[in-house]
Amino acid sequence: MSIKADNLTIPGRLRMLSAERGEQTAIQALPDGGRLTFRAWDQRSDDAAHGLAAVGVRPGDRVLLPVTTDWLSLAVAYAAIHKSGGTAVPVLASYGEEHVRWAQASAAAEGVVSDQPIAGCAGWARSLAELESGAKAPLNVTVSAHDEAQIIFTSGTTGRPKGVAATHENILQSICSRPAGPAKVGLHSVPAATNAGQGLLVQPLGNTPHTVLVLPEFRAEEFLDAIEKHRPTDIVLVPTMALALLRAQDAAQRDLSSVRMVRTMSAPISPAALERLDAMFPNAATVNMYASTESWPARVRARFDRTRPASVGKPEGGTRVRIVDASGAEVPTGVTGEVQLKADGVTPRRYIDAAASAEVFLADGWVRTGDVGYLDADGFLYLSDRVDDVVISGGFNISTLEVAAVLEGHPQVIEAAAFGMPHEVLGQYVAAAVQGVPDLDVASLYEYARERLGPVKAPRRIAVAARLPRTRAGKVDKHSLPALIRALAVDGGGHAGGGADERVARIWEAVLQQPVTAASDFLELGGTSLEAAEITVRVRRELGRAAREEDLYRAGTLAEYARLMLTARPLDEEAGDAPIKRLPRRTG
Amino acid sequence: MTSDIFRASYLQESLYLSASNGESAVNVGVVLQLRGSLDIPRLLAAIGALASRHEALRTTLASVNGEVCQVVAPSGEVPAVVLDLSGEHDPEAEAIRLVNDHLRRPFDLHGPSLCRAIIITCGPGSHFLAISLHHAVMDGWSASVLAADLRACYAEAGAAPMGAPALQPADYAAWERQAADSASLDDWREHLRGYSARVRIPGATGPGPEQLGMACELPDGGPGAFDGIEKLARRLRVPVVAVLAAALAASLREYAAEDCGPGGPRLIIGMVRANRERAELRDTVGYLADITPLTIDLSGDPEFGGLVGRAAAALAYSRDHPVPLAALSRLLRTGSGEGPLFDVCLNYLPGGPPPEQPRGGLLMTSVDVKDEEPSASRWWDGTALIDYVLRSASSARLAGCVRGDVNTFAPSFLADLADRFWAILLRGTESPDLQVSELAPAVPGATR
Repeated sequence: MSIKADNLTIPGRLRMLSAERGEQTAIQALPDGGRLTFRAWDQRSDDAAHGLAAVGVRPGDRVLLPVTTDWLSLAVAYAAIHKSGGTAVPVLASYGEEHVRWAQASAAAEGVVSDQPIAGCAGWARSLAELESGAKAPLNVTVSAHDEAQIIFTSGTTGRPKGVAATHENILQSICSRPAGPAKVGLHSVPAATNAGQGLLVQPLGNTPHTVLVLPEFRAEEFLDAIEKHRPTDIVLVPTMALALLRAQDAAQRDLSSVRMVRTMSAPISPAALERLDAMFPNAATVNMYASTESWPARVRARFDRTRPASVGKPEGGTRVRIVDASGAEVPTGVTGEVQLKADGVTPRRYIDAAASAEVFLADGWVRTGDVGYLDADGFLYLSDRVDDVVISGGFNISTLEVAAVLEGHPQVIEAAAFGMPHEVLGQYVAAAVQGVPDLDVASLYEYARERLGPVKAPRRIAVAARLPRTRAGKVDKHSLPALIRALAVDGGGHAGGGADERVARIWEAVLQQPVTAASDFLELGGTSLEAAEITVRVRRELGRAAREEDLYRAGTLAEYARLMLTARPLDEEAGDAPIKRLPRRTG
Repeated sequence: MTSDIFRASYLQESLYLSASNGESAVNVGVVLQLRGSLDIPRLLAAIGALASRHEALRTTLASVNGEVCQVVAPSGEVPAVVLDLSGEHDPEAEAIRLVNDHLRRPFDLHGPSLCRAIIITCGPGSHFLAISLHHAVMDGWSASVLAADLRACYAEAGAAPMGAPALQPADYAAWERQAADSASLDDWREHLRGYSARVRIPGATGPGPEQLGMACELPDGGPGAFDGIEKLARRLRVPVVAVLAAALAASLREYAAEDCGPGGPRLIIGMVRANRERAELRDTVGYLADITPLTIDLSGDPEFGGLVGRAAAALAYSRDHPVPLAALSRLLRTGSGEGPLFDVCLNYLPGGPPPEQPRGGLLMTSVDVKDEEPSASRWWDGTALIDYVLRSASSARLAGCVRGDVNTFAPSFLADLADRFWAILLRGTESPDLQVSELAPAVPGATR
């Protein structure tokens, strides 16, 4: 048998650790407690690698690896594919067979390692058990640090996900470049086949001795049980899990003292939530990681900092950050632009689609994140939004992250998401969807948001949902949110009646961008003098009545205002209501 | 191609006639700080695009057959000076000094241009742009339109030019003339009976033929102060400007003329109206603002909240009877015809925060250039003895200054007026149940 591997490869690290501390547990699956020691991991993957050779896998082949909740098999199969000289293509089986087939075609994977047969997959298919115990063939493979090791797919909220390829060195750099620290026990429920999940899969292979406990099916109560029973030093969470833990009923009675580090990653998390998380784990530092599947290992890390709650922190581990404008030129400190990251001394990742790759992975090693943000004078990074998520309303660029973060600071709000809705005058206006406590006072939430965000950025419409819709990757599905607002327009309202009342109500709604009822009051809705002028202009035009701005201040409610409009004198061109004419010009 | 000639508006005419030797420094400026990498030819092209879009930037004044007219050239350039101060010891301070000079320098009203620009480079990534325009072609509302259009023209350089706004200043001027000529003054005459636009400053002998205008900044109240004013306005169901007008009148109670009838002082305050309620005027650059008389009755020592209500009623009257100053001036002119029409004017411009995002690689932010040097000019109908200029722009703060004629009273009096207005505004907002006479003891130095 000959599998030669550089140190900085998954097989190489596995072999070394198997010799050094073979009996230690690398990965333990909860809740049943099954363990995979380093030695078992190494030996079983050797066997399976020979099984792959017998199937005909050659160095350079890509092998599809649908992942389920069985992390121990995942770890063995993953390493086995590398030992046969191949590239592992992990994909979430829970996304469905169609997605798995699509991923295989996209990555041009020769075969599939899966316990469950997947209909319609091309090439060969074997379960891990068959590979370990079935036919074997000799191997003569050399695995180098710069060999392609893995392809994972980005979660992509628009269009199809993109395959991101990484080398062994790229995957291992962040855990192998720093000297060993004290031994850690980590606990997480992050799904495999994501950037965070794959990072946690190889975490035991780093310099610092590490046992990783994985609870594949997240439930807040069970996660807290696991902390109390296994006493991990580190926990890793994605924001939905963090919010779920914060909502857990008996968290205050739990002994969470073993946790020294709480790490959040994969999606934006509001400063309010980070602060609550920090308070929940009294002995822990709370750290948020900002990176993308494409940029890894380039990453930005923030320890929760009361003086800079909104910052995602500073670059870590040889990462560099820069902010550029639309032409790619770097902008001055404090100016907002596109965030780009670069990891020094590491081969960057790439898309398997070369054309798409050139757009994101730039020639000089910089990677575009597609996020908008800025650096302050001390080098701290602040994110404004995804490029596509910025709301442009009346000429102002509004960060939906900032709006959502403010809403989540309200004590009755559990989770919030902000987005743009079309507006005939402003282009877009800011709307939000929130999940709140059962007796959430929406009127007070509007006021709360206006006080903190000001009239330009505060959401003009807020829809309350039992649960925010999510994509398969667990991120909030922003594309489903506008439907919640449109539903408001249908059953909210309760206008005073047909005819002029209806038209007046629609004008109020169009200008104020809020749902109105017969009892709505212009001033209580936060109407400004500019909005009073706008409403008056429209009522004059559409009803042909001499409406005056005073009427909005005078009338108590929409119903009274509508009544006032019915008795207002009709517009009379003789009386000077005619529009101003444009004089003819010699010059045209 | 020849230029178009149109009648000037009433206030344009007043400015023209007030110029001494044809020179006037009644200017309005747009000052922007530019951060990022500036492409100067592109900026000059953007300024040129503004001149194509807005007739105001190609307008000059002239007397034609005894009538004051505005002359609109078919095309025109904004004269621009480009300076590089990056070698200087303190470029930013020098830049501010040059911008101030640029804004203060008079225009020759008979001359070829009533606007000019200066672009100053202080260092890589740091520049200033100042456009100075004569008030005859510019007002406060227009300054925001111009800044927004400039951002757009710079960012979209090379794209199809933006269309012209619906109306230009000449169209407005013609409409104003017609409205003034056909207006009936009977209602207003009745409405103004018993009110006086005069204030009596202790020790002053009355305005001379020339004014020496000097500005004194209002103290910075911070965002909380403006919130309080907005909340009171909402509670009393009035626009914000009614609260400001009430505080202004209350702060001048001691100086309002007593000889206007029984009961106590009844003051006329000139209120500058942006005059942009019509949608077709919203994007127009020019001097469209007008001044309307606000009749504030201080008799009977009302509570501050009550005074706010009275101010709101006066505001409503003005809006219901929109007669241009061109016609109302006949009712307001007293005595020899020299001196200002209004002794006190309130100029309040509400607005939102300016955009903070860079466009085209450049971040343009408005700069408030404080001008505390006095400047001399002859009286014209758009100016007052004391002008209260207030803005609620960036971060919802109230800021501004009190500008007065220091030929008539001392600069220290101006500072007292500013402090007094501010103190009464805050006190009245906090405790609207206090009577106006009770607001005064909160102010040091009040005599009554």
